[in-house]
Amino acid sequence: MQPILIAALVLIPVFSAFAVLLLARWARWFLDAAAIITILLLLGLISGFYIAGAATAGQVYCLGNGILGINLILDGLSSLLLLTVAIIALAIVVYSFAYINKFTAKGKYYALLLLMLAGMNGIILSGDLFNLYIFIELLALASYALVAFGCEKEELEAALKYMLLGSLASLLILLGVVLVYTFAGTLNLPQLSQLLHSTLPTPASGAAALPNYILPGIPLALALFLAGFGIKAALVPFHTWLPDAHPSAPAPISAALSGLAIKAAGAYAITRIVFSVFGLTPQVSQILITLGVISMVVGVLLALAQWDFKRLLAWHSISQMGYILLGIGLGTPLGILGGIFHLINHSVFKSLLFLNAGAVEYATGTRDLKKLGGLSKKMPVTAATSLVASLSISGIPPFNGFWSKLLIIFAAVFAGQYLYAALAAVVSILTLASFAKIQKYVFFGSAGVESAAVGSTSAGSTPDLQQIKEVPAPMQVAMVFLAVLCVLCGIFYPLIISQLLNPAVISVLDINRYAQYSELIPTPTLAAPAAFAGTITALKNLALPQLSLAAIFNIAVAWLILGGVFVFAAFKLRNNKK
Amino acid sequence: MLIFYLCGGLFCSGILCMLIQKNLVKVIIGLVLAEYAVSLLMVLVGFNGSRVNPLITELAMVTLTIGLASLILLTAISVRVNHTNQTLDISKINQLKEYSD
Repeated sequence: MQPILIAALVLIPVFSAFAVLLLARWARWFLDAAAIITILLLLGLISGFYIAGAATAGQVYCLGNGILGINLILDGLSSLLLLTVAIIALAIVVYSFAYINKFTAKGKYYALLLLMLAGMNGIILSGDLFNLYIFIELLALASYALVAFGCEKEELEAALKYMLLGSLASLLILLGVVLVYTFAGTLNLPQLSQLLHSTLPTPASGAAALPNYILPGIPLALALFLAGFGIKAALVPFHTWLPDAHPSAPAPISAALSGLAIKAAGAYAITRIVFSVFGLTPQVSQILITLGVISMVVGVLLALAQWDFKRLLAWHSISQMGYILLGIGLGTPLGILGGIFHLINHSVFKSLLFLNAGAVEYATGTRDLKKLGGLSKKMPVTAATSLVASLSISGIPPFNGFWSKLLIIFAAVFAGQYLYAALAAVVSILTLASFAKIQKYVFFGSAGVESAAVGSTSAGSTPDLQQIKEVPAPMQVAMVFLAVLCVLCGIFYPLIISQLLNPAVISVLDINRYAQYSELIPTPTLAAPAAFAGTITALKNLALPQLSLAAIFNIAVAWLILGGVFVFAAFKLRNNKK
Repeated sequence: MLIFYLCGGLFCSGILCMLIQKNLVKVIIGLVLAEYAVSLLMVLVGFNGSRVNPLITELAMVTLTIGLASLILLTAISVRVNHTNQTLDISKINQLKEYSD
């Protein structure tokens, strides 16, 4: 496969987003078609990379002047994440065909959704810290606008909260980037990895031997990254925005946020930064495990108390992110395998659950568990798929959640962390209890347990549960597709592990492999700045035309973001709910 | 060296402003202050006494642009919040609290 196709994974959704925005007024039929064609192109591209073997061997695309330009790196972990993003996005877009008719601003919705996808693909592919920051901001800005999409009181408040905390997180990440540049002199991830792990002089710069990993300021930068990405991943001390923001968005966006965004900007970024660049030390491993276990326990305990369908699911996202971080933080091959397997499994079943919640809200107009009941006869497809997803997330064999949780618990036992293994098992049982509650109050039982009660919490009037019909066909197709994936991932787990997960685990564990990508990047024609002391002399030779291509591209991307946001800022001042 | 400490002070005052202020506009001003402190640090790092590193210039320009974009969106959402809640006091914008207990 041509390296330029790696860049296409990011550029296609960006251009498609702006095409959708410009053409929305004249050709409304064009919107659905453009969105689905974009997603199918992405899916085809990433499948092509898998077939061509580039996904396991690794491939690099460079734009501009070598190390100083833009580098996109495709390896085992990134291709697995890209595949997950494309598959879940396919289900989300198909679901949106029918669901988004609830809103008026269809074009803006698709444009923002495609910008979100571009941001996620960019985060997953980017090979230098500054572009990582740019794509995180792209993803974040699109998510803020989509959380506020309904423009009602609660949605705006949730978006405001999300936006203040998200901007703070981006700021911490940016400060970390500046510190890394100050003390290591480079932003390129493979080069940084080489710099931090070798005591030899680096071939690219020829600078003197650097004190390995003890560069001043690097531990502080790592702490800033952990805090920033911790907010993005909603780990427990930093989680407060998630239970407000995720339920407030339209249902397909909740699915994208919970299923994809917190993984790309949170779990993936932490894995990449900690494992491939800084290296996992026992202290960092302990921090990750502690954060993971706290999120796991607190998330599930608070989920048990919820009566709002989507809010309950949002608390479970925090809890399941805890599992992922526990697995990855253990640092053993089995733990990382379990963590990454749980990451993709959680993407599938949590998206499905949010789509189910959206279907229930679409049909009945409420998501208060106390007002619902007996929907399994009225909405058989929604009920069946939601049962599959509930069993998957609770870890019942043979669904996919069982195998990944089992791997994580085994990994914790083999690492000697018996307490954490026991806690993971207990949390799994509490998850089952919580989803039994959803099944009982929404799909089984008698209609409207407390339908006569007044002053209940959720917005919306009490639905007439006798008049309910099953949701439109596109929504059913999307839900059935994800439910089938849940079952297939559970039954064919050996195949998934050997074909998809093993390359990803190898690329996480083998730190030298990532550092070697820097050799695939052409050395720039000027002396690359290596250390802060050497930087000053190298900088005198650095002239503006030498980085023009990358600079123009970066500034163009930034202005595209700005232009898009101008349009949305103007549209934010109107209410667009039908 | 003093200028780096002053820059750190600007960042800390921005974060402090975000934490203690009750008025939404002042919270946003705190965020912007902290953002500008980081951009300033970026330029200071790339400044060698007579000229600025072009790479750093580019990074700072992109950072400021993205910061402006996010500021516009934040302000637009704040305007809507002000319309729906009739207040800018963030301790009174708490409809979502009643769900979370």
